[in-house]
Amino acid sequence: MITLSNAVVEIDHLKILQGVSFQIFPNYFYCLVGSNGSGKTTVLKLIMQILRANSGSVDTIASKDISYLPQNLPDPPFLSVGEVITIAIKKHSKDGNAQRELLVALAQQFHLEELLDRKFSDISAGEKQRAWLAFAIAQEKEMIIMDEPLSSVDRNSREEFYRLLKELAMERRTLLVVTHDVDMALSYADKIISLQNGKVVFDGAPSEFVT
Amino acid sequence: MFPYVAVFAATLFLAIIGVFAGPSDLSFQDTYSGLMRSDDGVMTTLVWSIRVPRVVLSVLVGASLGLSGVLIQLSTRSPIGDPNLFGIGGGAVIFMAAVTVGLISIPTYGVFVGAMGSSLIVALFLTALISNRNLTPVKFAIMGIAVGALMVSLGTSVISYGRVFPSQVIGLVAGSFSASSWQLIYYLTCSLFACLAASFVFSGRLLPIALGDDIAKSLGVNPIKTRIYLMSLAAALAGSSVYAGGLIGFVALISPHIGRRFVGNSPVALISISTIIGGMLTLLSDQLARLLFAPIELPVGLATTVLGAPLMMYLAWRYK
Repeated sequence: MITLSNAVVEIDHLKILQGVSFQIFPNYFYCLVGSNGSGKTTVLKLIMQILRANSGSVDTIASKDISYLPQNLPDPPFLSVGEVITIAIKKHSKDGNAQRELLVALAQQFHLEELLDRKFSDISAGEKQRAWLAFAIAQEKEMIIMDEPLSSVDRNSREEFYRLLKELAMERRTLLVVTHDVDMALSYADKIISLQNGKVVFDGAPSEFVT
Repeated sequence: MFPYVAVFAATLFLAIIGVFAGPSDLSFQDTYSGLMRSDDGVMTTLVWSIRVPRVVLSVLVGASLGLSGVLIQLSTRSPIGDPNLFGIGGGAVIFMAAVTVGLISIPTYGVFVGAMGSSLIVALFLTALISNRNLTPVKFAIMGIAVGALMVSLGTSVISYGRVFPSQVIGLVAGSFSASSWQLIYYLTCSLFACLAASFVFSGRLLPIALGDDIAKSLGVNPIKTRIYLMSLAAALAGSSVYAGGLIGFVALISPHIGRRFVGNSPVALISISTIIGGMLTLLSDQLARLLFAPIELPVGLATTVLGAPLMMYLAWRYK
């Protein structure tokens, strides 16, 4: 479980977060929504312990137990999709056959079978997102955090992606996804946390969410 | 296994040319008997203190450059990585120029250590520049080329200040193996194999780094520390290569690209193949430099550039 209580972050005398409190319970799919500059990415950095709160407390899990996909990931030069996912698999599996089986299973789950041998830089934006998600899952960690994973993807691919996330949450994983996409959050997330000007303005089930 | 055997065979073939062909008109039998004897006759001396050391040294210098290039390219995610293009070798050139014109006077091993140290300063400076979070391959290449240009002009300033333009200085800025000796070979062998062993130790961190610094961290690899270690190794290799053969361009840049065609993306394989390809290419270039217009000898750096520049243009054309 992750608990932020009254967390304040100031950068250059600017209050980015002005007392943020919420809890993340295991095995739920959370969407963190809010406009640009509302402090979403800063919250993730607190959870990932990249930043420290100036005041308040942040009780989080070790960053090595989280697979974290930051915003705007660069294309790994020269590597194929299969090679990228295998890097994550190799972190916990040393056996070559088991590695291959896991890769094939992930490729099926995320519809990447045809793409495994393609260069990462040659596939489409939506395909890249699915590949990064497979990479995040391949690390076999209890929690996955993603920052704006779908900034450049069309609506159909987004639907498909959120369906996949929902399935993952049902497989007993905790997901925290930062997004602009309130529509998707409303249809697929278990819980929504909404930030505005560095404060939590909503924290609850999508059915209670009012825009 | 095939690519390694092929590169090794090519190197062996070029080494035979390097020992048997030359500007002085010697018959095959004479050279062969010189190679097989250990007396102090003219032939033995020519073969064992001129031709063989030159072949061995050019392979060692090229291998150091190939390894240096692959370490820079993998640790910075930049496909354009070359210690001599980016001023890392240039640091050693400034130091060697200062030694050559008599500004600094120290024993030989001091010159060797000093050359590596000067390269290290430039490499750490570059690493500090790119340690900010917005490192992109293009930014890194632009900064590197700027630093490289700066180093060349500083080196030239030192040479002009000394008011001497001996062949040694040309060898320094354009590359030459005409002053090969067994002592140089001894130094280069030590630095190359020490750095190669260290590279293999760090090789496991290179694939996570290829995915970007944030992801590397979440996979338990500290990208900044790793970059400092690997850039230091690259600097030691570049500095020692300048010490032994002067500034030789493009070998470090293209060896990893050629190697990747053969062995794919595994860091251990890439490190190994880039090292031996670097050795082979430099030996090839030195044969061209030595024999093409014999008895006039070109600087080997010209030959590597004539071979490397078009190849790099082709690779850049294909690169996305």
